[in-house]
Amino acid sequence: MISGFSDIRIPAEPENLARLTAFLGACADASGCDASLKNNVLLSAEEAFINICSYAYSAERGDVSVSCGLRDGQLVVEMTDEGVPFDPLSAPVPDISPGLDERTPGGLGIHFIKKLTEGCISYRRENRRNILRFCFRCGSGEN
Amino acid sequence: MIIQTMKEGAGLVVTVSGRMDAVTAPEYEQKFEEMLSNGETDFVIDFEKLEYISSAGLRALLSTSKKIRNKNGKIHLANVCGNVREVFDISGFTGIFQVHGSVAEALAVIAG
Repeated sequence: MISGFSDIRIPAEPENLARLTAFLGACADASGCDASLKNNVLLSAEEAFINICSYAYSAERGDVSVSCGLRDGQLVVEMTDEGVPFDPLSAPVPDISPGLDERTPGGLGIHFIKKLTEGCISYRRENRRNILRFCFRCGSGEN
Repeated sequence: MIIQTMKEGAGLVVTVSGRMDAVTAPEYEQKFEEMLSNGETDFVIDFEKLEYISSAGLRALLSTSKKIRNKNGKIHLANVCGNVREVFDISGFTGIFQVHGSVAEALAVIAG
């Protein structure tokens, strides 16, 4: 959790995606993000959330805490879970060149986050928690 | 997500509105399973009203497209724009699908 930021804690189940989207959509709006950047925020958050549901909590259930706010003119999102160690940044880079018949699904989520955040993403394992933080050039830059 | 279909001579036009995300993508796959089992083979998918797509949506699009092609069917996309276009571009999907500027254009290609 980041002081001064708004936050939400939700069970890590895909059915709660709409709650995550509503929370971060409101945060993006309050931070002055335009529609395109807001989409980037929501898309990155979905990919991170679904990864946590699938991998950090593959065996047992748990919650995800999400913080969102402006810092130094950037919209910062931090997602924390208490699942097994899972570093999405260590996932292999997908090959996006094959044609339809050769193309295999998977690996795209983290690729999206890296692209949409322009590399502003970090992972750390701390106190038995996975903490993923990513940011966007969003807002007026006056905060 | 709302999926509407309309038979247009050469193929079935499928209009997808709203969001294709991890929650709604299975509905998309299920709808195409139904259409394929009803004997439909040639599809134009109109994404003009699609506001959002994630990797889960792309996976559903990819797997249904493979099923259509396995039945020697045709799949053409129309009106891939805005946020959806950006996601297509960064995932390399723009290059693996036949993407058209309008439904009429896509239907004309299917009719040959």
